[in-house]
Amino acid sequence: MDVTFKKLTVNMKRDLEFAAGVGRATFNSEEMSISAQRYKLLFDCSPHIACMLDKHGFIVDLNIKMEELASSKIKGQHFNTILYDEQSSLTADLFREALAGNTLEGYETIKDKQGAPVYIEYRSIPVVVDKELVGLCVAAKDITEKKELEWQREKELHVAALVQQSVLCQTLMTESLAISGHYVPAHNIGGDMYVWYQLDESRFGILILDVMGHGVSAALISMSIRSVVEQLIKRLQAPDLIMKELNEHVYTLFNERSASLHFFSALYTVVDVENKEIYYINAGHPPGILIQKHQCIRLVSSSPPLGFLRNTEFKTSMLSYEHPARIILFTDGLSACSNNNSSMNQSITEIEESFLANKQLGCEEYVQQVLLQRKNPVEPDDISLVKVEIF
Amino acid sequence: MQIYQRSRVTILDIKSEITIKNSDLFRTTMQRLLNHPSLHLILNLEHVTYLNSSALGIIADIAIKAKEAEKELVITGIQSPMNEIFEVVKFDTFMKIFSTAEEAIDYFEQH
Repeated sequence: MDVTFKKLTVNMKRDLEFAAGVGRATFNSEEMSISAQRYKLLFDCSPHIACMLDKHGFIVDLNIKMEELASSKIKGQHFNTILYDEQSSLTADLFREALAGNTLEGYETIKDKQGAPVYIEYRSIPVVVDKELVGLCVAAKDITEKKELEWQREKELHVAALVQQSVLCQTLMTESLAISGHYVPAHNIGGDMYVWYQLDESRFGILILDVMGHGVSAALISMSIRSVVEQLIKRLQAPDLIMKELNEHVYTLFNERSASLHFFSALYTVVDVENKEIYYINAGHPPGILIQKHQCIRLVSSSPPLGFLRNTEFKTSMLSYEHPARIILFTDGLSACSNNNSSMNQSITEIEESFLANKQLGCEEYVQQVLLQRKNPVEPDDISLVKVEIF
Repeated sequence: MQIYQRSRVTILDIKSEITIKNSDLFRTTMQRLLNHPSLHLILNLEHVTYLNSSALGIIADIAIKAKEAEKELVITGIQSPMNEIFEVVKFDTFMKIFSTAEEAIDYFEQH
């Protein structure tokens, strides 16, 4: 938006000319009209920093806030001298753009009196009088505190992300099977989680889950589930009992006293390599895929997600398989990434075809491939993929 | 999002997709639907092409609260590909789903 305040700019032009000429920014009543004094008062007493630049980039006036920050000595100097890092600054380029009459907004780092960095968010408005640009009015907000808080939060989220990644199971390799997984949160941390445990000599339990929502709240719920899941899987063993306990856990902990409903979808699978059987319960989760003999069988959902209802009954399904076989488990963030994301079924077919076509295809490789090809999603989602290779 | 009455039934028509941007508005509108004196509530999704997982949670939450208040919330007009999501989350195990609002009204009239 090109702002031309005629009355204001006439006064500003005079201010600019006057300030440039006499090197001071105070005006007596004779020198200024009442209107100009009002604008001057507004400029001087603004809670934000402000300065006037001439069309060569020299600071011809600055308000009290700016004086407090960078000292009055900067008056008469080029704006480059107050930039914290002139080399990497884009402000010189933006200044040229502003001289073309454009109002610009941006971020910059300037120096305070001690030379310390001050982060600002600014708006520069061209001062135009009789179609002639005479300078720029720059108003800026000191956002140093906000920036520092953001960095602190980012650091904490980075640590949280490392913690979350560290609780995901590492690749398990035995004589009979190999289990691997890959997780990419939509933000630093997220609500997806997968774990696997060897239950005895021939049975392995694998759980993948997806907590509603993304970010910190989903991650907290997922970590709370993580804290109980190993003990539950090893102690209860039976899929229906494990799901029932997990349902109770999330319901009691998060839904009994909360105004909003928290829930997660989950697919728990037990692979029995001795009897060549797979037992599973899918609770509101995208289907898992059993691949064998060039065919795919889907492990479909048979109950609502966990946390929806206190008394949900979970029924275990069983499939027999032939060696070699693969099981692919994923969260809906992966199927939503498909280029054909209008239909979940079509997206799952794409996943099936990819793994059918390439027996060696790994989780990380596939997720990266999908991420590279994906179109902009409506809402970015956490992505998890687990592959069980039964030899 | 529009709430209106048809005979003894209160209908909430959703006219847009539900994303993170309007899920709070969806929650408060669903709460308004629940607070309506009518015992028979319809959530009509025939114009909805996308809803996120939070919206699913809100629907389930209100359906459960409706039951606790001796009311009934049903869903109508789920379009493809949304029907696949509802199939996965098994909403039909704890609430009724109808193809059209007319079918749901007929159901309520018989009860």
